[in-house]
Formats: sequence, C-alpha cells, structure tokens
Amino acid sequence: MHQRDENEWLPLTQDYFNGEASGEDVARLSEILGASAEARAGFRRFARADLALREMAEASLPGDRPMIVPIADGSKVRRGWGGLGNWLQAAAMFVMAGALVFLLVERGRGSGGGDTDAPAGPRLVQNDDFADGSLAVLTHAVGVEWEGDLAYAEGAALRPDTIEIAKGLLQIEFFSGATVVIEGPAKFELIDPMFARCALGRVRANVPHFARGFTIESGDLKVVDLGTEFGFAAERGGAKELHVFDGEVTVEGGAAGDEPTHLLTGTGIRVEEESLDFIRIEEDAFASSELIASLASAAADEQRRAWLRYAENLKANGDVQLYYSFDNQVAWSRRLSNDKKMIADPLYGAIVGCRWAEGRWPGKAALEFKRPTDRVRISIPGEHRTMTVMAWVRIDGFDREYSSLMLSDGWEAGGAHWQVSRDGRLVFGVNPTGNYVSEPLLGQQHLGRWLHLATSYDADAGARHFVNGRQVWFTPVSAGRAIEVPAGELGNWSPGYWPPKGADVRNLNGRMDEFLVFSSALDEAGVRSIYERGRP
Amino acid sequence: MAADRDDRYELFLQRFTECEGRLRAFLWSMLPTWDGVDEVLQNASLVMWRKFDQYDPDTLFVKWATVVCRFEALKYRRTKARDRHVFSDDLLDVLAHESAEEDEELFLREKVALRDCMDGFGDNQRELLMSAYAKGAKIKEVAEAAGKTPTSVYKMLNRLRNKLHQCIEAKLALEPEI
Repeated sequence: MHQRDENEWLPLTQDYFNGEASGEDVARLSEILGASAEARAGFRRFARADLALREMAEASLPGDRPMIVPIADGSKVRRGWGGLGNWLQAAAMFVMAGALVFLLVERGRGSGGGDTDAPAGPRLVQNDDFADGSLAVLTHAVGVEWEGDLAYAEGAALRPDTIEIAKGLLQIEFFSGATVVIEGPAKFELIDPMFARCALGRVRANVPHFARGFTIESGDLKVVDLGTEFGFAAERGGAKELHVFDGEVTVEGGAAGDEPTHLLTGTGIRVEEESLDFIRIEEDAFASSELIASLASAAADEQRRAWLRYAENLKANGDVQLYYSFDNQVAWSRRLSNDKKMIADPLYGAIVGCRWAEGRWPGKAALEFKRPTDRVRISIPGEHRTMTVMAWVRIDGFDREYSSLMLSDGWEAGGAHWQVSRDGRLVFGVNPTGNYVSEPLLGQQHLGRWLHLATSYDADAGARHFVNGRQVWFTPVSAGRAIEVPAGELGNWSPGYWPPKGADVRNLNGRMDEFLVFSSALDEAGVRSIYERGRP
Repeated sequence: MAADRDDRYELFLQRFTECEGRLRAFLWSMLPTWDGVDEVLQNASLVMWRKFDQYDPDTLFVKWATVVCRFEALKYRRTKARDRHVFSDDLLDVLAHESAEEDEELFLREKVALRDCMDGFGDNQRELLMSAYAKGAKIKEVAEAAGKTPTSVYKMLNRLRNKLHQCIEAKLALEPEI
C-alpha cells in the first residue's frame, strides 16, 4: 500500500465545497473521512471557515440574509435581497465582476501603480438606494465646510447635483469606476457616471480603463480622460490647469481650440482667457486618495478619542439611567455592559443572537440586528415621569411595519415603545397616555448611514423627537403616565404571546452602537450637544 | 398558560440562536448548497419548536437539534438532491455526532483566527475571495471577461483557501489567549 498523503482530504474537501468534486472524489473523500478522526476534524473546520467566508461575502452586499426562525407554521424561508429589484442584483454582480476583472488586468500587466488605483470592489454598492438615479458614492469627507443646505455624510449615495464646499477634501467614486478627490473651495456638479462639471476647485481624477471617456467640463473647456490619472484645477479668476500624471487626456474648447488636443503623461497646461501655456506638472499639488484616506482615519481617530473623553462625563451624569456604549466588550461575551457607574445592580443587557460589527467609527463596536431572533434584553430601573431615550443606529432597511429601537415587553400600563415605522416615522408610545407619531422623517436616503435618534418624554409637558440633534416633532402631553420598563428589548419586541402575527414582528434591520436612557426630558440644546460630540 | 408558552418560546429562541451557527456549519458540510442549508434549517427549526415539549432540558440542546437537522437534511437530500454526489448515511452519523460534541471555545477561537488571517491578506486577495464567495458569483464568466481561464482563477482561489486554512491551523495550534 502506498504512502498516504495525510492531507489528501484537503484538496478533495475544497472541490467538494466548490461543487467540483466528481463521484469518485466524493467516494475517496468519504473513505478518508470514515477512516480518520483527524481528517474529519479538519473537514468540519474547513466547512465552518467556508461558511463564515460566504457569510462575510454576503454581508458586504445589499439586502439581508435569509432569516431562519419559525415565524409561522409552514412558512417558507424569506430569501433576502431586501426590497431591491432584480436589476439591482445584476448591477451588484456587475460591479463585483468589474472589481475582479480589474484586479486580474492589473496583475496581468504588472504595473507599478501601487495600491492607489486599487479596484473599487463591492464597497461601491452600499445599502443606499441608487434605484433613484444616484450615480456616485461619497467615500470620504475630511475637514469639509459645506456651502448651502446640502451636506452629505460619508457613504452617502449622490444624485445629479451640485456640491459646494468652502474647504476640506472629498472623495467621490462614480459608479462608472472613476474616482475624484476634490479639494475646496470647490463647486462640482455631478451630471452622470461619466460626466461632471467643475466651476471651482482642485480635482484629482483616477479613471480605470473601463471608465475611459470620463469627462470634466469647466466653462468652455472640456477634459476627456482616456485612462488613468490627471489633476484639474479651476481658479476663481477663471484660469484653469490640467496636469496629466499618467496616461492620456484630451482637451478641447476655448483657448484649447475646437479640435481635441491629446496630452500624454507628464504634460501640463494652463489656460487663461485666450492664452494656453505648457507648464510643469506638480503631482503633490493635488490631494490623492492615499492622502484623504490617511486624513480620514486620523480625523476619525481624533473624533473617537474626543467622544471617549466626553462619554466619561455621561457615565458620571446623575441623569443617566442606562448607558450602553457597546465598547470594551469581549467578543464572545453575551452580556452588554452598562457603562453607567453604579454601585448596586450593574444592569447588564443580555445579547440574544446579535453579532458584533463595526460601529460608526473604525474600531468602534456595534451590535448588528438582522434576524427576527436578534435582540438585547434590558431593564430600566425606576419609574419616570420624565425620560429621554437616545441611540446611534444604522438602519439597513424598513423591513417591518415597525422596527424596534427600544420596546418594553408586551404592552403594560407604563410601558414605552420606541420604534420606527415602515414609512419612516419616529414613534414613541406610552401606555395608556398615547402614541406620539412624527411625520415620515426617514427614507431610503437614510439607509446604511449612522443616525442619532432621540425622543424625550415629559408626562406633564410633551413628547419630542430628535433626528441628528434637531427637534423634528413635538406633541403636548398633560397628566401622562410615568414610564416603567422592568423588562424590554433593544432592536426587537417580545409581544407576550406566540406566535406573533404580522406587525408584531418588529426586529430591527441594522446596527446600534450606543444607547442611553436619561431620567430627564432633554431639550434640543441638550440632545444636540451630545449629537455634535458623538457624530462620526 | 399563555405566559408559560411565552417563557417556553423565549427559552427555545435562546437555545436555538445559541447553536444556530453550529447547526448551519453542520448542514453546510452535509449538503453544500446555500439554498439547501437555509431550507433545511428553516424546516428543522419549525420541527424543533413543534417538538420542543419532547426536548429534555437536562440534555444538551445542540445534540437534540443536530439530530433533528440531520433527519431533515436526509429528507431534503432524498427529495431535492438525488443527483448530487453525497456522503453515506454512516459517515453523516459520525459527522453529526462529532459536530454536536465540538467545543464551543474552539468555535470562537476559529472565528478569531479566521478574522486575523483575513486581516493578514492583501486587499486584492481579500476581495478576490469575497467576490468568489458571494452568492451567485460566476467565476467562469469573470475569468472569461478577464481573458483568464477559469482554471487559473480556481487555482488562485485554491491557493488562497489553502493559505487561509494553514494560517487558521497555525493560529489554533498556539495556546489560547482567553
């Protein structure tokens, strides 16, 4: 008998999980596994890793995982891509395929381009709804002072629109694959995935080959990229500069003439009124993706540290009844620590089902609520005629009639239900005083982004809802009931009977990375100052 | 009575969610199709809830649940996956038994090791793995579009998987840190 390779099971196992194994292979694998406990242990470990990788890959795509729970007898598994249409799945696959193609091509030609033009990858597809005509994603915004009403958060899907900043750096990734880093002051208009106008500002454009033809227009000047990288600057006086760092660009219009002029690597031009001069290119004069990434991470670190210092005050604040910072958690622990410093009852939250995920800063922990079983069991001490509930949440979908933020079990007298309706209303109910329901405030554009939500209740004054530090709703209340939550849940609801029907399933689809309960009814200034310090 | 039933459900949910990952992994080794695993786990969870009264709280829930899953998976295989190459029932019995016995701490260490090893990969390698593992990813099409043969893409992937597996094994061989 020939010497057996003790790892023979490994390639066979790979084929087995790839669906590539022949009947013979499976028979051979069965034989090896049947004979060796060690091979079986390796095989099971491989299966777990394989499954974990699939779950990771799926987590980076839109839509949620199918949920596994007996929701009603005979009901079928709901297969998840959320509410996204088939074409969007196709789009997601396309973007991913694009990423892989790019990766292979990059390797194939062995360019020394480094990582600056790394493939956009599945990151491009976010939970933001781009069925509505969005054409790009804002991936970084560092030190930005926005002009006008519009301010975008990192991760926001961008529609055709004009973006104006007084200062700071933005990185925008077009769905075509082109990436621009813009330095303010700037006025930049997004027209379509292949076309933008720049009236003011310094722009560095990185255009992979499949976005060839990406065009920036500025006044009567038109710059068309034929692949790779260039810098473009539009000054207030009307002068413009073009620096070709790599590849080929054509320029036409105005002083550049009506015919396209081809400019190659290392060429720079300056256009001023009727004159056109050749200039020396300056790569360092245009902020790169690398720079913005390092600044963004430094800024996030700084904000996070500032927040941690401030959070120490919150922990010591006598008004704070419960404080779950979701930080400093041990990965395997199923207890959610209450950070409010207390001598007596520590009031741990009990995590059921939820997984740990990244919070609103890199390195900050959050809990992810996905399945109808996911929840954190909590208890709020005491009876409260005034109370404020507050959370940083990232909603990934309005899957249910009501999505729970914090709901007391059942619907007892004094119970409180804090939730978001399917149509984006903030809802706060106190039994039997009433339900305080805002207008629809949240929509598709809020999905996948970190939001600060708060509601304050004063049994003798009123209920207020706050979104990102702004009061958005007020309903007067008189002689209301005090709130009592001896048992309740974050991100879900136990209605008190089984099986739950329709609107009784209220699991949150999203993440939470901070939750606070105050024993006072905070006003807008109070909520806003906490929001301002804690915003990502 | 209603409250009693409610407590039972709470208990059931807790037990079920505690071992869901393990059940899923077991099913994955038994019938490696994503849809199959979901469907079987869904059916099995319904069976478990209906028969929860028969579950003896003194025994480990995961053992009972694995038995239910194994049964449901065999049923599924008989009806839906007849044409696939599959393991013998005997081997599945052994695998079911052993996976129910497996140490919970090992699972956690594996997960940590997997994350660490993934972190050690370059962005490109990670993205290739993720693209390949995403639901519905068609390596063949992607390979064609890139002018590579599917075989060479598979080879790249297999190399990465091997590397990952070796990395996990190496990390687990070290003393646990917790």
